[in-house]
This record gives sequence, structure tokens and C-alpha cells, in this order.
Amino acid sequence: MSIAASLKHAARWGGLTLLLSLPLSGWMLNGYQVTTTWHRPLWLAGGVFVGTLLAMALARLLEMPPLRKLRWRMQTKITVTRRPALPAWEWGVLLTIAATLPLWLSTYWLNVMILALIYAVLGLGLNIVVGLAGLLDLGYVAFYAVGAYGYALGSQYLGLGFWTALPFCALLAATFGTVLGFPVLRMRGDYLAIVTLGFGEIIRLLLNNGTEITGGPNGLPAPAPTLFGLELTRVAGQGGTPWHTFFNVTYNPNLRAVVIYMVLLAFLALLFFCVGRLQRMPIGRAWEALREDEIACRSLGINHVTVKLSAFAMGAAIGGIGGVFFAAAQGFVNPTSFTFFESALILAVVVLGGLGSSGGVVVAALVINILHELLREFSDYRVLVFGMAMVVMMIWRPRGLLSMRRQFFAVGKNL
Amino acid sequence: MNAEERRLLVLEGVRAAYGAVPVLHDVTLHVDRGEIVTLIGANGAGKSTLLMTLFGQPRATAGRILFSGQEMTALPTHRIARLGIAQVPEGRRIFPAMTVEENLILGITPLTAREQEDPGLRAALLEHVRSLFPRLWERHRQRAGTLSGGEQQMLAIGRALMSRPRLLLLDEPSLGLAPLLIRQLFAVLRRIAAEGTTIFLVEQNANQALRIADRGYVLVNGRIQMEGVAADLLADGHVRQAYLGGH
Ligand SMILES: Nc1ncnc2c1ncn2[C@@H]1O[C@H](COP(=O)(O)OP(=O)(O)O)[C@@H](O)[C@H]1O
Ligand SMILES: [Mg+2]
Repeated sequence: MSIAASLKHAARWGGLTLLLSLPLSGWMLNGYQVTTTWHRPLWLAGGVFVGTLLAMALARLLEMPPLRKLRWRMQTKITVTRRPALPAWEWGVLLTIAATLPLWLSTYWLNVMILALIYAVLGLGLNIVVGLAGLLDLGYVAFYAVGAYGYALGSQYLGLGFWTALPFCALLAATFGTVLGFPVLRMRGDYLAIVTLGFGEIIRLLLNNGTEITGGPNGLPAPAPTLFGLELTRVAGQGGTPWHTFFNVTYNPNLRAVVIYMVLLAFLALLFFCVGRLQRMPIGRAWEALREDEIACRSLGINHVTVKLSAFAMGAAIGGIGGVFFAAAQGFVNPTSFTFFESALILAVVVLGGLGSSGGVVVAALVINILHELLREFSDYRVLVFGMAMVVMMIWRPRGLLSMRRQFFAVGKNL
Repeated sequence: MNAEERRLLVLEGVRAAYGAVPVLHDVTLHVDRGEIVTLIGANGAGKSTLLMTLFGQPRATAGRILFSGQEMTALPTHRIARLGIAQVPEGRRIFPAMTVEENLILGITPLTAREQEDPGLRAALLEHVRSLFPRLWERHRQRAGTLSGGEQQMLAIGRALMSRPRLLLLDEPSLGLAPLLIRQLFAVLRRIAAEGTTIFLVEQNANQALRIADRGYVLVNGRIQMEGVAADLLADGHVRQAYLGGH
């Protein structure tokens, strides 16, 4: 694309953002008058404009002769062509918009978004187990609980902070995943579903009844995350300085949610990227092959034990991280958050989104959570509506909202 | 090379069973480097079981299996595949939801990690499959489950060849194919052998198999009943009677 065309393109996106954000955040009701505040929409539009330009410049840079040469260094007749679902600059736009949401969303909707992103993370994790490896896990909530309680208990007994809890709980949950994986190595389908269902319930009951350690039904507090050693709460609870004291600004109760949202968004983006890579790596292909035909896999030299366990462990680790975010966002954990219904909901996210499709899972997580909030007034019928939506979806798009795309190889033209 | 060194695959007194039911009784046979050897036998004779036993599923209950002089009787299945033996299993067993080339790429799993990551090697291997099966390559982006039976068989063979095996095992590749396709398939097998891959071919289609093979074995109820040069077996009265429809 020429520079003029790029500018036009970026301007179009910026204009669109302005158009969209003006009614959402630019007009304010002041008494009986509507006042127009331009600065927020303008900032947003400017951000999108610059972001688009940068993303396109980056894409162009990769096409430049030296880098291009590097990309085509392996001159062979057959080349790997990767066609991402969206081009790079569209990703830039999406991420920029997502990152600016806290500027104009209310606290309430910001918390809804946090929950939606947590579900997206959980969906991506479960997608590895169910969508890729084809192991129907109905107890995925167990790993979510392990992560959440790992953080709450860790901070209470070991003085664990949010940032150390992330890898710690991922490892802890992965260990649980492996422990579950061993006995079910020879199981598939219905039998596997029943055992994992039981496993999920066992974890929840342990948490509920281990009153001395876990606080039982009363639950446990979970501290807010810290940012570079600064605390986001009104008074310091973890031995640091509160953020507003350090910078000498007024206390903003929203800050906790904003920080969690941003970290979560960054993690989701990273996870999305990593899962995409994993799918193209030998281990990802082995997961899928295992789903398709275990005997053929073994005759191809795939060690089904390690492949299965790695799918369980990887899925569990991601679930554990989702749990840490959940605990940090809620500030509190108790067993009622980890019932079978949660497992079913996460599975619904995966199936609705499209088994194996990361993009679909993220979209489904957003749709389900936002729908859930919009239907709050009909809360008695929510599950009913939800079930009907599911049935309609399965008739209309049996492969999910965005069905999985497959990479392919093409015979190179220019070589 | 003496006889010992020429042996690529050796089975000595191999027995195998499913639970308490014995299927193979003292099977002794060998495949030399560069040969095409065929094993023919009626339905239920134990041909598939023999190929599966090579991969340890079920495991031999007695006897020894040697590959290139190395004992592999007790190796885990996935390690056997890495010795340089590739299997085209009965019924093809391709991965239906994955594309043709994803199926092919999965075939490189037995190679070392370094070889697997070498894009030049990968391209060369794909190119090889393309040259053997141009019709298959035309469908390389298609889901494998949507291929015709013949194409699926080509895919299964291509997938096995992706690991550059020294020994290729095939279990009834002609099953369910039209006569014209069968002839083409056997021509390709000949070509693969000419390129230096040793072939051990299990077939019910004894006529065609014996025509491309150097030597043959006849399996009856889990026992080797006859063995010899393929042309001799083809001319043998008993074999004609039992497996070639008497003409
Ligand atoms: N998985 C199995 N479990 C039990 N018995 C089996 C199994 N597979 C094959 N058999 C039995 O082993 C015998 C040999 O079968 P097979 O090796 O498939 O014969 P072929 O391939 O020569 O037709 C048959 O009697 C068959 O019923
Ligand atoms: Mg058979």
C-alpha cells in the first residue's frame, strides 16, 4: 500500500472510532443539557489512527528486501503459507480498541468485561483439552478452583503476591492436571467425561469441607494485585505503599479493576498467539492426531502418554491462571464459584465458539458473558434462553461461530 | 555383504495372542535389504496381527524380532517407529479432520527433532510424495476425510514415506480399490522399492502381490505354511488353488 492509501485507511478507522465513541463517551447529560466533551473521543480516534498507521508500517517493514529475504531464505519449491484469520493491522486496531475500553466503560461493565476475558482464557485452555486433543473434560472448573484457591491460600499462608502467584498457580494446576491425566490415560469419550466430572466435584467438596484451611463455605479473601510494588487499595495491606500516596493523587477505586483488565488483556493476547503457534508445532499436531486416531498416532512414533498428559497439563495450567485473575478481581473466593455449572459454561464457550478455533472461543466468551448481563432482568429464564440459543446455534452453525481454520502449504510462485 | 548383514527384518519363532487366544504360532521369516517380500493368507490367518506385533500391539509372547540386527521385541511402540520402520495400517487410518498435508507432516514424527525442524528436508519429503502421487497433491488442502478410498490409500502410503523409512510395511493396501487403481498402486510400490526402500507387503490379492514381489510367504492359521521365490509360488499348484482362484 502506498503512503497516501495507508493514511486514508488509518483515517477511515480513526473516523469510524470517532463516530462510534462520540455518542458513547462524548455526550454527557448535565442537568437538562447535553454537553459535548470532545477530548475523550478525539483521544480514542487519534489512538486508533496512530495504531493503525504503526501496524501498517510494521507490516510494510516485514515486506522490505532485507527482511523479506530472511523470510524466503529457505528457497524451496514448496513454501509454508500462513494466512492468519485477520491481517496484522486489524489485530492492532482490535487490541487498541480493547485497551481503551476502561476509559469509557463504567465500573460495572468493566467488571463484566473482566469476567468475559477470564472466560476467554478458560475457554482457550479447555479448547486444548477438548477441541484439540479431543478429551472431553467435564471437570475443568477444578483447575480454575486450584488457581483461585492457590492464590488466596498462598497469599494467606506463604505471603504470595499476585505476580508470583501466576506462575506458581499455573504449575500447581498443571500438577493437578497430570495427576488427573494418569488414571484416565486409557479412557475416552463418556468414561473420561464421567471421571473428570467426579474430579471436579471432589475438588469443590474438598474446598467446601476443609474448613480449617480453606475457610469452607465462608471462603477466603484474595488480595488485589500490586503494580511495581505499589498497592492499588486505599490502605496498604501487603506491606507496600498505596499507589495514590506514592504519586500524591486522589484515590481511585476503579484502579484495581483497570489494572486487572489491562494485565488480563495482555495475557489473553499472549495466550492467543501462543495457542496459535502451538497448533502449528509438532505437539499441537500430535494433539489433533490423537483426537483423530490413537492407533495411527502410535504407529507414527507419537508417544500417546506424554502427548495426552501434556494436553491435560497445558489446559490445567491455563485454567489455573484464569483462577488467579478471578480471585484477584473478586477479592474473595468461595466454593460456590466452582460448581459444575461453571464447567458446563466453559464447555459451552468452547463448543459455541467452534472446537479448536481460538478466535471463536474468544468471541463466544464475550457474547455469552455480555448476553448473561443483558438478560439479568429475566434471570429466572436465563438458562432457558441460553439453552435455546445453544440449540439454535448447533443447527445453524454446527462447527461453532468461527470454525477452525487450517493452515496449508502452497507451491511458491515467485521461486 | 554376507547373509547376516543383508537381513533387515528377522522374526524368530514369534508367537502372539489376544488375551488367551493364540493367533501366531512360531512365525519365522526374514526380509532382506532392497527386497519386496509379500505375506499372503486368507482372512483371519493373522496377517494384520503379525504386522501389529512388529509394533508391539499385541506384544510377542515368545520369540525374537530383530531390525537391522538390533533386538526390538520389547521396545515401546513409539520407539519402534523411530527405528526406521513405517506402517501403512489396515484400513488406512488417516486423520480425517486434518488436511492432506497435515496428515503428511505428521508422518515426519519419527525423525529427530532437528530433522523435523529442517524446512529444506520437509519440503524435499513433500516433493517426493508429490512426485509419487500428483493426483493426491492436487488435493493437499482438502480435509483427508473427504478423499476417495484410493486417494486415502495414497495418503496413508505418503504419510508413511515422510519418515524416510528403511522398511515399509503395508497391510492390504489394495483392499476396496478398483482394479485399475490396484495396478497403479502396485506400480508405485515398485517405484518406491526401486528408490531403495525395502517393502514387506501383506495382501489377500495374492496374484498382484506375487507379481511385484521377490519372495513370498503363505500364512495359514497363524503358521507359515510355505515360502519361496515369488515366481515359484505364483506357479505352485497349491497356491493357485487356494489363493488365485484356481486359474
Ligand atoms: N483385537 C483383537 N482382539 C481379539 N482377537 C482379534 C483381534 N484382532 C484380530 N483378532 C483375531 O485374530 C485372528 C487374526 O486376525 P487378523 O490378524 O486380523 O487376520 P488377517 O489380517 O489375516 O485377516 C482372527 O481370528 C481375529 O478374529
Ligand atoms: Mg488383516
